[in-house]
Amino acid sequence: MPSDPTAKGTQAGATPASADFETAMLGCLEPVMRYARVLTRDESDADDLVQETFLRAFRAWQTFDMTSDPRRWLFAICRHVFLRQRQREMRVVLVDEELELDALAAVSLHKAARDEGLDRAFDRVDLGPAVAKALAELSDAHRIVVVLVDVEGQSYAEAAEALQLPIGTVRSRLFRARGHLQAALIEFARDAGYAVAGLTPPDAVSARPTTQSSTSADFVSTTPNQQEELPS
Amino acid sequence: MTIAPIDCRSAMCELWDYLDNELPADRTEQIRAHLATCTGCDDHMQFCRAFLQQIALPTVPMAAVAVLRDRVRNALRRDGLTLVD
Repeated sequence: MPSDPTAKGTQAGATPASADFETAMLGCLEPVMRYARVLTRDESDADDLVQETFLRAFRAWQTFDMTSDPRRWLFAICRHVFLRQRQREMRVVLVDEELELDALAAVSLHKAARDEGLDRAFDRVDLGPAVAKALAELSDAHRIVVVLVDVEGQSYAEAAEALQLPIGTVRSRLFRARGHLQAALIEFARDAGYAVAGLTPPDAVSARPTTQSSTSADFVSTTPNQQEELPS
Repeated sequence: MTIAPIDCRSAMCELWDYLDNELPADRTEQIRAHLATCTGCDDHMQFCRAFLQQIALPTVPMAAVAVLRDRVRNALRRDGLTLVD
């Protein structure tokens, strides 16, 4: 189990006053809320997780180093609480680490998207809702790695330490999750009509796409939810 | 110093590591040099980089934030924190 960020002794930096908690921490509520929603995939569970995060932060407030990033500290607490709750689900076994095939599948996916005029979708289309949905479709084991590296900006080594996993496992889960997300976002752009719109808003398009083009399924034989997890 | 050339397959297999700044400096330079001369691989790199920029925290409605903020503040008050209204 990853170490508890609130279990450290008082840190070397400035010791916070209780009155500072509201200023330093509650201002971070919205990003912590968004973070919790990505982790839990459930609004109600996310709200419970956020509340627990702030209560734990308050109880451990004297250990917080005022020179450090409060958002990062709250994210760490939030992640720790989440992982404790999901400990059993996180004990997954990766049975297929075909990184090279994944990388080449991504190239094929891009080529297919380009053939449909969707290759600039990530530049020009707001994929926010689709990102949230695609993240929610990942398994916990894959989503947590994406959250650590792509949302929190941690290195592979930092993510591996936080999850107590080998770096190779973090790397393979990350790449496979990204492949799944890319495929899902391209699918979203296609379904939204951007292929015929040439990446203009689909409202301006008179016809929806009528042909089923090749999708990621042609190139990626597995998704994180389907084949990589074994019962713990 | 001469940078040893690499092929497209090698570059693409390490593209995520490259974009994540996880490669040693010499390998990074090899991939950078390849991308500078290979339109197809550079195009794929741009595709992947744009994708990574999309993977940010999704937004939540401000009304939901306000409701949860009140709930958390009440919980903190019960836990002994004095808050300024």
